[in-house]
Amino acid sequence: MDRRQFISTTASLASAAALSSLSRPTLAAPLRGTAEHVISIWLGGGMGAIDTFDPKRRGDATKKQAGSYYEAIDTAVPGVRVCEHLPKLAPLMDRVTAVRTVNHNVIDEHAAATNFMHTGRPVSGTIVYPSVGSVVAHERGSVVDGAPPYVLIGYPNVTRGPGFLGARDGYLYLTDTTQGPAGLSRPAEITASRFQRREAFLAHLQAQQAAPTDARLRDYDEAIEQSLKLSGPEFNRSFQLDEESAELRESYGGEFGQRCLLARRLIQRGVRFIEVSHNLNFLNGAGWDVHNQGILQQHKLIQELDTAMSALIVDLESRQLLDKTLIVVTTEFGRPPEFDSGGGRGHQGSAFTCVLAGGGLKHCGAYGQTDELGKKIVADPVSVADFFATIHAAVGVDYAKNLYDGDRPVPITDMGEPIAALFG
Amino acid sequence: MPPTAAEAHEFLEEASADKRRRLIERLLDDSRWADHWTSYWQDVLAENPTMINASLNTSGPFRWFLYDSLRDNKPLDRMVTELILQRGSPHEGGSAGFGLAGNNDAPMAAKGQIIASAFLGIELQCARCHDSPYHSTKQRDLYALAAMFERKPVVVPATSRVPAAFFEKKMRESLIRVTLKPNEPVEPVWPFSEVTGSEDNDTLTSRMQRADDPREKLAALVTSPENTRFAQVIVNRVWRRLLGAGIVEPPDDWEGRQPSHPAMLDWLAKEFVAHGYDLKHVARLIMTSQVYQREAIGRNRTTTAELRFFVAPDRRRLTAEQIVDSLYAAAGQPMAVEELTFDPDGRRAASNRLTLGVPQRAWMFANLANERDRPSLNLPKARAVTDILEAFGWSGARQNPRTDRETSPNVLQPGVLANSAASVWLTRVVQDSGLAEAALNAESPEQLVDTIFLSYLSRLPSDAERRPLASALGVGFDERVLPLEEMSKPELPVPLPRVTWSNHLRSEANSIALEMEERARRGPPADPRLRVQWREVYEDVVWSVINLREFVWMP
Repeated sequence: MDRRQFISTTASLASAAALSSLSRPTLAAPLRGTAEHVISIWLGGGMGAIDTFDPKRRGDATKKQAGSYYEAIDTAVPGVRVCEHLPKLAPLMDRVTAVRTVNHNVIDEHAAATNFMHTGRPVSGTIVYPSVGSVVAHERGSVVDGAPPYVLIGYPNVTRGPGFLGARDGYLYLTDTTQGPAGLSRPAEITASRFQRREAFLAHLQAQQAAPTDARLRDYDEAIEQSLKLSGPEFNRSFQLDEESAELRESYGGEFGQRCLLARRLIQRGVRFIEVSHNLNFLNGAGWDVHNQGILQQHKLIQELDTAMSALIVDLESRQLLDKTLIVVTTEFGRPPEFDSGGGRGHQGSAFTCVLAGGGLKHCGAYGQTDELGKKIVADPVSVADFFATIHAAVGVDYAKNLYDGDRPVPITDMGEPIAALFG
Repeated sequence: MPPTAAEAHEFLEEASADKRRRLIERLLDDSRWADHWTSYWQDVLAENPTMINASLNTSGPFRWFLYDSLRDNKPLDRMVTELILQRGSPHEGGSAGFGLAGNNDAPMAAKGQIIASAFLGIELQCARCHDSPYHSTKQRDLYALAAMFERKPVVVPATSRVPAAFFEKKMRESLIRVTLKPNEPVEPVWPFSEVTGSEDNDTLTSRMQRADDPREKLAALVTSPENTRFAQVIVNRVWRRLLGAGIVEPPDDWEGRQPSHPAMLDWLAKEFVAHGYDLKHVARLIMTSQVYQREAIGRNRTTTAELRFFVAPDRRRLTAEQIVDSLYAAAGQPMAVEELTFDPDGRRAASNRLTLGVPQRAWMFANLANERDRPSLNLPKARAVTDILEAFGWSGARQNPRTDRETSPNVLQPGVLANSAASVWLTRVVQDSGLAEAALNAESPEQLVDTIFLSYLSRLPSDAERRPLASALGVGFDERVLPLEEMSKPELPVPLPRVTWSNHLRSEANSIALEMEERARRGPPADPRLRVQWREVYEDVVWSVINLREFVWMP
C-alpha cells in the first residue's frame, strides 16, 4: 500500500465511521475504566521506539548498520526489555504498558502528524477536530467546580485546541513552572498592596455603573469575578512547587520533571486532563527529532524522561492516585532502525510506541509485537483510533458516541476499539 | 481603534447639528477603515498563512492583497474578481495566496466552498463528500466550482468519497446521498444560475477578457450585476457588522431563510451596485440612519426574521483586534514585538519559511506555532499579544472560513486584561509613551482622570467616578516629576544575537530564547521622569479602567 492509498483508506474509514455510527446497532456495553484524570506527556519531534521502549539488536551509526543505538536491559516484567537509559522505569514496567504497534502514515510533516496524534485522525478539509484533551474535558468536565478541566504545560497550538467544540473546552496554558497559567496568574512585579489598590479602584468604578439588563453583560461581569478568584492565591497555590519537599522535587529532575510534578499538583486540585510537553530542546538541540547529530545527546532526553516519569509513577502511587490517573506518552511518529547520512534517524510511521501507565489498567509491560528491527508489525496492531479509544475508555468516556458539529455527527474516534487486554 | 482623548473631547464639546455626519465622513476616509475590515475578510476567506511548512489548510498571506484593496476602497466586484483569479505572488501577499491549501487534496473544492459561503450565502461544507442532507446543494455543485477554478474537469478525490460499504450495510434509509458516479468527471459549469440570477451567456462573455477561461468566467458570474444574490450577501454582511444582526441570518447560509426586511435588502443592494460596488457608500447609508445611531439595546440576532424589527442595534463587544489596537493606541505605545518569522536571515524560500513582518496592527499577527515545540523558535512578545487576541476569539490558524467568532465570555478574557504580560506593559507608564506625556502635561489630578476616561472609554467620568481616583492621584501630584538630578536613565538591554532557522538548534539559541522570554516578561522600562510611588498609583487607575466591562463591551 503506498502512502496515498493509505491516507485515502484511513480517510474513507473516517467518513465511514462518521456515517455508519448514525445507524450503529446497540452493541455490548462499551469498555469502561475507572481513571479520573489523564496526564498526557507529549514527546515533540518523534520518539524512536528502537532507542527506548522497543529495543532491538544493536546497530552502528558510523557503519550505517541498522539497529538500536543503545543496549537493552531487563524490566520487572519477564521478557519485556527497554533501553539502558530507562533504568528507573524498568523496575516499574509492571505498572506500564508500552504499546509497540501504533501506526499511521502521516510522516512527512510534523504539524500534520502532531495534529493526527492529538485529534486521532487525519486532517479534514471541512472541519476542525477537537484534541483528545478537549474531548475528555467536554465529556467529563473538571473534577471539582472552580478548577479548569484542561491545562497545557507547553506552547499553545490549534492542534491541542477544542476545534468545533468551542472555547469552553479549550486549555489554560503555561510555559514556565515558576509562573501560573497565562492570564490567570498575577504578574510577579505587581505587589499584593498594589493589587489591593487596583481592585479597590475597580470595585469603586463598577459600583457607579448601572446594573446590566443584558444577559451577556452579566455573564461578562461574572467572568470578571471568576477570573479574579482564579488568579487569587487559592488556585495559584497549585503552582507553588516550593511547597513540596526538596527531596521530592529533586527526584523529578529538571524543568520537565517539575512540569510532571506540577501536573500531579493540578490533579489534586481537580484538573481533569493535563498535557505536559517535553519540548525542551536544551539537551540535544533537536529534541526528539533526532536527525543527524541530534542523536548524539539523545540519551540525555531519554534519561530525563526516565527520571521524571518514574518519579511521577512512584509519587502518584504513594498518594493512592496512580489507579485514578492515566499517564499517557505520545509522539508524532517513530524513527526507523536505519541511520541517515549524518548518523541520526528519519521518521517512521509503520510501527511506533506510545506508552500507558497507571489509570487502573491491567498493565503488561508491553503490548503488540514488531519485527526484528521494529519496522513492521508482527502481532496486535493498534491504530491511532484504537489507542485513543483506549484512553477514552480508561477515563470513562464512551468512545463510541457521536459529538456534533452543528448537524454533523462526528464520532469521538474513527471507529477505534480499546485494547481489551488492558481492561477487566 | 478609539479616538484620541483630544478627538473624543472635541466631538463631545461640539454643538453643531451635523457633527455626526461630518464625523462619519471623516472616519470613512480614515485608513483604519481598512484595518478593521481586513480582519473580517481574513476570517470569512480563511486566510491562514504559516511561518513554516504548509500544513492544515494553510494559505498564502493574501492579507496584504486584502488590506491594499480595502485601503484603496477598490470596488468590491473588482476585489472579488482579483481574488478568484488568484494573481501575483502566492507567498508574498498576492491574491494567488488564496489558492493555496496545505494538506488538502482538493484545494479548489475548498476555495469553492469559501467563495460560495462568503459571497453567495451558499453552504457547501457537506458537498465535499456527499450531497447535502439538509440543503438542496449537491456534491456536483461544489466540484463544478472546483473545475471552474481548475479550468478543467475534475474528479472527486478518493479521500472525499463515502465508501460503498457504508450504503451496503446501512440499517435504515440514509440521510445522505451521493448522486455523482465514482470517477465521473465534473465539468466546469456554473451551478447557481437559478439562485443568483447570473447566467453563462453572451452578455456575460462579452464582458470577459478571455471568454474561454472558466476561472475568469467564475469571477464574472459571481460579480455580474445580474447576480443579485452577490450584492445582497455583501450588503447584508455590512449591515450585520454595523448593527449586530443581519437582515438575513446567518449571512453565510441563506437557503430556506427569509429576510426580515426584503425591500430594504433589495434597496441597499441596488444602491451598492449603482454606486460601483462601493462598500463605503453602503456603510454611509447605514451609519447615517436613525437605527444605527440609537442606543445599542436591540436583541435582533437572537430573534426570528418575523420578530426582527431593528428598533436599535444589538450590543456588541469589541473584536479581539479592536481590543489590542485600542490598548496600544490609548497607552500611546508602539507595537514593539518581534518580526514574525523563524528565518530572519531569509536563507530559506518563502514557500516554507514565510516572513510576515513586524505587526503594526492586530490583524497582522499570525499563527506562531513552530510545530516542533522548540523554545528557541518562540517569539515571546508576539505570543503575549496573541494571548489577548486568542482569549477574545481571534485565531491565527483559520483552517475553515468563519463568519462568526465565539463571543461568549470566559475567564481568560478578563484574565488576560488583568494579568497577562502584555497587559503589564500596556498599563505601564512606559518611557515617552502617551500615558507618560499625559501625566507630565496634566494640569490637575481631575484633568488626568478625564484624559484616561476619554482615551480608554471615549467619555468623561461622572463626578462620583472621578472623585476617589483624582484624590488618589492628588497625593504627591505636584511632586510627581523628578528633578533632573534624581532621574536615572533606564539601562538599555544588551542586544541579543539573532536566532534564525539555521542556528536554532545550537545550545546558545536556547539561552538567547530564555533571555528573550525574560525580557518579554519584564517589558519596556517605565518613564524615569515620574516618581515611582505616584506613577504606580497612576498605573493602577489605568488598570482599573481597562478592567471595566465597559472597555470591551459597547455601553
